[in-house]
Amino acid sequence: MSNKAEFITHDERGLTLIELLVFIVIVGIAATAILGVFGSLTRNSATLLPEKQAQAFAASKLAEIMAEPFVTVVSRYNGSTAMTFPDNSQVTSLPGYRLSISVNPAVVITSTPAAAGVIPAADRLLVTVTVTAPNGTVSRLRGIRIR
Amino acid sequence: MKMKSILHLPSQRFSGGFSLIEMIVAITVLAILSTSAAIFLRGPITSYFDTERRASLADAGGLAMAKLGLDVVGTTVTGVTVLSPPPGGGFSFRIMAPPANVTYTCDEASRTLRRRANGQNNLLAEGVWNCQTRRQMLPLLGAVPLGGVIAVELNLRSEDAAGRDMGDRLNLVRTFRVGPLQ
Repeated sequence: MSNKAEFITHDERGLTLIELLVFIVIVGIAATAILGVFGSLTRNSATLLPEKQAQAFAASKLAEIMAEPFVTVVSRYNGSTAMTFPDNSQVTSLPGYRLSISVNPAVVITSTPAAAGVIPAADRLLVTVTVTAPNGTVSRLRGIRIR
Repeated sequence: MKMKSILHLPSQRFSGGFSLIEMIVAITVLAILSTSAAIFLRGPITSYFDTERRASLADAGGLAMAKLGLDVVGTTVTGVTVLSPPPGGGFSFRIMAPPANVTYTCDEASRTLRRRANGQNNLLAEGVWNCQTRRQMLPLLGAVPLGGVIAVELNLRSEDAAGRDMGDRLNLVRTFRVGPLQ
Protein backbone atom coordinates (compact mmCIF):
# COMPACT_ATOMS: atom_id res chain seq x y z
CA MET A 1 0.00 0.00 0.00
CA SER A 2 2.81 2.38 0.64
CA ASN A 3 3.78 1.74 -2.97
CA LYS A 4 0.45 3.08 -4.26
CA ALA A 5 0.60 6.22 -2.16
CA GLU A 6 4.07 7.00 -3.49
CA PHE A 7 2.96 6.50 -7.09
CA ILE A 8 0.03 8.91 -6.84
CA THR A 9 2.08 11.62 -5.16
CA HIS A 10 4.64 11.42 -7.94
CA ASP A 11 2.00 11.52 -10.73
CA GLU A 12 0.16 14.60 -9.52
CA ARG A 13 3.10 16.88 -8.97
CA GLY A 14 2.53 18.50 -12.43
CA LEU A 15 4.68 21.12 -14.16
CA THR A 16 6.16 24.21 -12.61
CA LEU A 17 5.51 27.58 -14.22
CA ILE A 18 9.16 27.78 -15.32
CA GLU A 19 8.91 24.45 -17.13
CA LEU A 20 5.74 25.59 -18.88
CA LEU A 21 7.35 28.88 -19.97
CA VAL A 22 10.43 27.10 -21.30
CA PHE A 23 8.18 24.79 -23.31
CA ILE A 24 6.20 27.70 -24.75
CA VAL A 25 9.38 29.57 -25.72
CA ILE A 26 10.87 26.54 -27.48
CA VAL A 27 7.68 25.76 -29.37
CA GLY A 28 7.32 29.43 -30.23
CA ILE A 29 10.82 29.59 -31.74
CA ALA A 30 10.24 26.42 -33.73
CA ALA A 31 6.87 27.64 -35.02
CA THR A 32 8.33 31.01 -36.02
CA ALA A 33 11.12 29.33 -37.99
CA ILE A 34 8.72 27.00 -39.82
CA LEU A 35 6.24 29.74 -40.62
CA GLY A 36 9.09 31.96 -41.81
CA VAL A 37 9.99 29.31 -44.38
CA PHE A 38 6.37 29.22 -45.55
CA GLY A 39 6.41 33.01 -45.85
CA SER A 40 9.54 33.09 -48.00
CA LEU A 41 8.12 30.32 -50.22
CA THR A 42 5.02 32.41 -50.74
CA ARG A 43 6.99 35.52 -51.67
CA ASN A 44 9.40 33.73 -54.00
CA SER A 45 6.65 31.97 -55.94
CA ALA A 46 5.66 35.38 -57.31
CA THR A 47 8.99 35.73 -59.16
CA LEU A 48 8.11 33.09 -61.74
CA LEU A 49 6.27 35.35 -64.15
CA PRO A 50 8.68 38.35 -64.29
CA GLU A 51 11.50 35.89 -65.01
CA LYS A 52 9.54 34.23 -67.81
CA GLN A 53 8.54 37.64 -69.17
CA ALA A 54 12.15 38.86 -69.17
CA GLN A 55 13.27 35.71 -71.01
CA ALA A 56 10.46 36.07 -73.56
CA PHE A 57 11.33 39.70 -74.27
CA ALA A 58 15.05 38.91 -74.58
CA ALA A 59 14.23 36.07 -77.01
CA SER A 60 12.01 38.31 -79.14
CA LYS A 61 14.68 41.04 -79.21
CA LEU A 62 17.35 38.53 -80.23
CA ALA A 63 15.07 37.18 -82.99
CA GLU A 64 14.55 40.77 -84.17
CA ILE A 65 18.31 41.39 -84.33
CA MET A 66 18.86 38.11 -86.15
CA ALA A 67 16.33 39.26 -88.78
CA GLU A 68 18.14 42.59 -89.27
CA PRO A 69 20.44 42.95 -92.32
CA PHE A 70 24.01 42.19 -91.23
CA VAL A 71 25.40 45.57 -92.25
CA THR A 72 23.06 47.56 -90.01
CA VAL A 73 23.12 45.33 -86.90
CA VAL A 74 25.92 47.24 -85.17
CA SER A 75 24.70 50.74 -85.99
CA ARG A 76 21.11 50.03 -85.05
CA TYR A 77 21.48 47.83 -81.97
CA ASN A 78 24.92 48.16 -80.33
CA GLY A 79 24.48 49.93 -76.98
CA SER A 80 20.73 50.23 -77.49
CA THR A 81 18.50 50.33 -74.41
CA ALA A 82 15.27 51.29 -76.17
CA MET A 83 12.28 49.10 -75.31
CA THR A 84 10.85 48.99 -78.82
CA PHE A 85 9.15 46.70 -81.29
CA PRO A 86 10.82 46.09 -84.69
CA ASP A 87 8.85 49.03 -86.17
CA ASN A 88 10.42 51.29 -83.49
CA SER A 89 7.14 51.76 -81.63
CA GLN A 90 7.46 51.82 -77.88
CA VAL A 91 6.73 48.73 -75.76
CA THR A 92 4.22 50.00 -73.22
CA SER A 93 3.08 46.71 -71.70
CA LEU A 94 6.32 46.05 -69.77
CA PRO A 95 6.74 48.85 -67.23
CA GLY A 96 9.82 48.47 -65.04
CA TYR A 97 11.72 46.16 -67.42
CA ARG A 98 15.11 47.35 -68.65
CA LEU A 99 16.98 46.29 -71.77
CA SER A 100 20.59 46.54 -72.86
CA ILE A 101 22.13 45.21 -76.04
CA SER A 102 25.76 44.85 -77.02
CA VAL A 103 27.11 43.73 -80.37
CA ASN A 104 30.74 42.70 -80.55
CA PRO A 105 32.94 40.84 -82.99
CA ALA A 106 32.32 37.16 -82.28
CA VAL A 107 35.23 35.06 -81.16
CA VAL A 108 34.69 31.54 -82.40
CA ILE A 109 36.25 29.08 -79.99
CA THR A 110 37.29 25.97 -81.84
CA SER A 111 40.14 23.52 -81.68
CA THR A 112 40.38 23.09 -85.43
CA PRO A 113 41.85 26.09 -87.32
CA ALA A 114 40.24 24.88 -90.53
CA ALA A 115 36.75 25.18 -89.07
CA ALA A 116 37.52 28.66 -87.73
CA GLY A 117 38.42 29.73 -91.24
CA VAL A 118 35.01 28.92 -92.67
CA ILE A 119 33.44 32.19 -91.56
CA PRO A 120 35.76 35.23 -91.63
CA ALA A 121 35.94 37.30 -88.44
CA ALA A 122 34.40 40.28 -90.21
CA ASP A 123 31.31 38.21 -90.99
CA ARG A 124 30.31 37.20 -87.48
CA LEU A 125 28.88 39.21 -84.62
CA LEU A 126 28.19 38.23 -81.03
CA VAL A 127 24.88 39.73 -79.94
CA THR A 128 24.13 39.89 -76.22
CA VAL A 129 20.64 40.87 -75.06
CA THR A 130 20.15 41.55 -71.35
CA VAL A 131 16.73 42.13 -69.83
CA THR A 132 16.31 43.08 -66.17
CA ALA A 133 12.90 42.46 -64.62
CA PRO A 134 11.39 44.85 -62.02
CA ASN A 135 12.30 42.38 -59.27
CA GLY A 136 15.97 42.40 -60.32
CA THR A 137 15.96 39.07 -62.19
CA VAL A 138 18.43 39.26 -65.08
CA SER A 139 17.91 37.26 -68.27
CA ARG A 140 20.78 37.28 -70.73
CA LEU A 141 20.66 35.68 -74.17
CA ARG A 142 23.51 35.48 -76.68
CA GLY A 143 23.43 34.72 -80.34
CA ILE A 144 25.96 34.78 -83.15
CA ARG A 145 24.87 36.57 -86.30
CA ILE A 146 26.77 35.51 -89.39
CA ARG A 147 26.86 36.67 -92.99
CA MET B 1 -2.92 -6.82 -4.80
CA LYS B 2 -0.77 -4.07 -6.16
CA MET B 3 -1.97 -4.75 -9.72
CA LYS B 4 -5.60 -4.59 -8.71
CA SER B 5 -5.19 -1.23 -7.04
CA ILE B 6 -3.66 0.26 -10.16
CA LEU B 7 -6.51 -1.05 -12.28
CA HIS B 8 -8.96 0.72 -10.03
CA LEU B 9 -7.12 3.98 -10.29
CA PRO B 10 -8.43 5.38 -13.65
CA SER B 11 -12.10 5.05 -12.85
CA GLN B 12 -11.55 6.77 -9.56
CA ARG B 13 -9.73 9.68 -11.21
CA PHE B 14 -12.01 10.24 -14.22
CA SER B 15 -15.27 10.04 -12.42
CA GLY B 16 -14.67 13.67 -11.49
CA GLY B 17 -14.85 14.82 -15.19
CA PHE B 18 -13.63 18.21 -16.47
CA SER B 19 -14.12 21.36 -14.56
CA LEU B 20 -15.58 24.36 -16.39
CA ILE B 21 -12.22 26.14 -16.16
CA GLU B 22 -10.46 23.19 -17.85
CA MET B 23 -13.00 23.20 -20.66
CA ILE B 24 -12.59 26.93 -21.24
CA VAL B 25 -8.81 26.65 -21.25
CA ALA B 26 -8.97 23.80 -23.77
CA ILE B 27 -11.35 25.71 -26.02
CA THR B 28 -9.19 28.84 -25.87
CA VAL B 29 -6.01 26.94 -26.70
CA LEU B 30 -7.72 25.19 -29.62
CA ALA B 31 -9.08 28.50 -30.87
CA ILE B 32 -5.62 30.10 -30.81
CA LEU B 33 -4.03 27.12 -32.56
CA SER B 34 -6.65 26.87 -35.30
CA THR B 35 -6.67 30.63 -35.93
CA SER B 36 -2.90 30.77 -36.32
CA ALA B 37 -2.97 27.68 -38.54
CA ALA B 38 -5.64 29.28 -40.74
CA ILE B 39 -3.73 32.56 -41.01
CA PHE B 40 -0.37 31.01 -41.77
CA LEU B 41 -1.66 28.30 -44.13
CA ARG B 42 -3.66 30.75 -46.23
CA GLY B 43 -0.54 32.29 -47.81
CA PRO B 44 1.07 29.04 -48.98
CA ILE B 45 -2.23 27.67 -50.29
CA THR B 46 -2.89 30.88 -52.26
CA SER B 47 0.70 30.73 -53.46
CA TYR B 48 0.21 27.21 -54.76
CA PHE B 49 -2.74 28.21 -56.93
CA ASP B 50 -0.96 31.39 -58.11
CA THR B 51 2.14 29.42 -59.07
CA GLU B 52 0.11 26.82 -60.94
CA ARG B 53 -1.81 29.50 -62.85
CA ARG B 54 1.34 31.42 -63.79
CA ALA B 55 3.16 28.28 -64.88
CA SER B 56 0.33 27.23 -67.18
CA LEU B 57 0.11 30.78 -68.59
CA ALA B 58 3.85 30.78 -69.33
CA ASP B 59 3.62 27.28 -70.83
CA ALA B 60 0.69 28.14 -73.09
CA GLY B 61 2.35 31.30 -74.37
CA GLY B 62 5.71 29.62 -74.85
CA LEU B 63 4.21 26.73 -76.79
CA ALA B 64 2.23 29.05 -79.09
CA MET B 65 5.38 31.05 -79.84
CA ALA B 66 7.41 27.88 -80.36
CA LYS B 67 4.84 26.69 -82.93
CA LEU B 68 5.04 30.00 -84.78
CA GLY B 69 8.82 29.77 -84.60
CA LEU B 70 8.77 26.33 -86.25
CA ASP B 71 6.75 27.78 -89.15
CA VAL B 72 9.14 30.65 -89.84
CA VAL B 73 12.62 29.52 -88.79
CA GLY B 74 14.78 27.29 -90.96
CA THR B 75 12.72 28.17 -93.99
CA THR B 76 12.51 31.24 -96.19
CA VAL B 77 9.22 33.05 -95.84
CA THR B 78 8.50 34.26 -99.32
CA GLY B 79 5.53 36.38 -98.39
CA VAL B 80 2.95 37.22 -95.79
CA THR B 81 -0.63 38.01 -96.72
CA VAL B 82 -2.52 40.09 -94.21
CA LEU B 83 -6.14 38.95 -94.13
CA SER B 84 -9.12 40.85 -92.76
CA PRO B 85 -9.13 40.54 -88.96
CA PRO B 86 -11.97 38.91 -86.99
CA PRO B 87 -14.90 41.27 -86.29
CA GLY B 88 -14.06 41.48 -82.58
CA GLY B 89 -10.50 42.70 -83.23
CA GLY B 90 -7.17 40.93 -83.56
CA PHE B 91 -5.31 39.83 -86.65
CA SER B 92 -5.20 37.19 -89.34
CA PHE B 93 -2.30 36.56 -91.69
CA ARG B 94 -1.07 33.82 -93.97
CA ILE B 95 2.57 32.80 -94.09
CA MET B 96 3.85 31.60 -97.43
CA ALA B 97 6.77 29.35 -96.65
CA PRO B 98 6.78 26.65 -99.34
CA PRO B 99 5.62 23.95 -99.23
CA ALA B 100 3.38 25.02 -96.34
CA ASN B 101 0.91 27.87 -96.22
CA VAL B 102 -0.08 28.53 -92.64
CA THR B 103 -2.73 30.93 -91.38
CA TYR B 104 -2.63 32.43 -87.90
CA THR B 105 -5.76 34.07 -86.56
CA CYS B 106 -6.02 35.90 -83.29
CA ASP B 107 -9.56 36.69 -82.18
CA GLU B 108 -9.77 39.19 -79.34
CA ALA B 109 -13.50 38.54 -78.91
CA SER B 110 -13.02 34.87 -78.03
CA ARG B 111 -9.44 35.60 -76.78
CA THR B 112 -7.93 32.74 -78.79
CA LEU B 113 -5.02 32.23 -81.18
CA ARG B 114 -5.62 29.61 -83.87
CA ARG B 115 -3.37 28.06 -86.49
CA ARG B 116 -4.82 26.69 -89.72
CA ALA B 117 -2.76 24.45 -91.99
CA ASN B 118 -3.48 21.43 -94.17
CA GLY B 119 -7.19 21.61 -93.40
CA GLN B 120 -6.63 21.52 -89.66
CA ASN B 121 -7.63 24.37 -87.39
CA ASN B 122 -5.85 24.12 -84.05
CA LEU B 123 -6.25 26.17 -80.90
CA LEU B 124 -2.79 27.43 -79.88
CA ALA B 125 -3.51 29.75 -76.97
CA GLU B 126 -6.33 31.02 -74.82
CA GLY B 127 -6.57 34.21 -72.78
CA VAL B 128 -5.21 36.43 -75.59
CA TRP B 129 -6.70 39.77 -74.59
CA ASN B 130 -4.71 41.88 -77.02
CA CYS B 131 -2.79 40.94 -80.14
CA GLN B 132 -1.36 42.68 -83.17
CA THR B 133 1.13 42.43 -85.97
CA ARG B 134 3.72 45.08 -86.61
CA ARG B 135 5.27 45.34 -90.04
CA GLN B 136 8.37 47.12 -91.12
CA MET B 137 9.78 47.36 -94.60
CA LEU B 138 13.54 47.32 -94.37
CA PRO B 139 15.38 50.15 -96.16
CA LEU B 140 17.03 49.62 -99.49
CA LEU B 141 20.67 48.63 -99.45
CA GLY B 142 21.95 50.23 -102.62
CA ALA B 143 19.40 49.07 -105.17
CA VAL B 144 18.60 45.77 -103.42
CA PRO B 145 15.28 45.58 -101.58
CA LEU B 146 15.84 43.86 -98.26
CA GLY B 147 12.31 42.63 -97.73
CA GLY B 148 10.47 43.18 -94.51
CA VAL B 149 10.13 42.21 -90.90
CA ILE B 150 6.94 41.05 -89.23
CA ALA B 151 6.50 41.11 -85.48
CA VAL B 152 3.62 39.18 -83.98
CA GLU B 153 2.65 40.44 -80.54
CA LEU B 154 0.48 38.52 -78.07
CA ASN B 155 -0.67 39.83 -74.72
CA LEU B 156 -1.84 36.92 -72.62
CA ARG B 157 -3.67 36.85 -69.33
CA SER B 158 -4.54 34.04 -66.97
CA GLU B 159 -8.18 33.08 -66.70
CA ASP B 160 -10.22 30.75 -64.54
CA ALA B 161 -12.51 28.07 -65.96
CA ALA B 162 -15.30 30.62 -66.47
CA GLY B 163 -13.01 32.94 -68.48
CA ARG B 164 -12.62 35.56 -65.73
CA ASP B 165 -9.41 37.58 -65.59
CA MET B 166 -7.11 36.31 -62.81
CA GLY B 167 -4.67 39.22 -63.07
CA ASP B 168 -1.44 37.69 -64.47
CA ARG B 169 -0.01 39.17 -67.67
CA LEU B 170 2.50 37.90 -70.22
CA ASN B 171 3.64 39.83 -73.30
CA LEU B 172 5.17 37.78 -76.11
CA VAL B 173 6.63 38.93 -79.40
CA ARG B 174 7.96 36.86 -82.28
CA THR B 175 9.83 38.56 -85.11
CA PHE B 176 10.64 36.99 -88.45
CA ARG B 177 11.98 37.98 -91.84
CA VAL B 178 10.06 38.00 -95.07
CA GLY B 179 12.49 37.38 -97.90
CA PRO B 180 15.99 35.95 -97.69
CA LEU B 181 18.27 36.85 -94.81
CA GLN B 182 20.87 39.46 -95.68
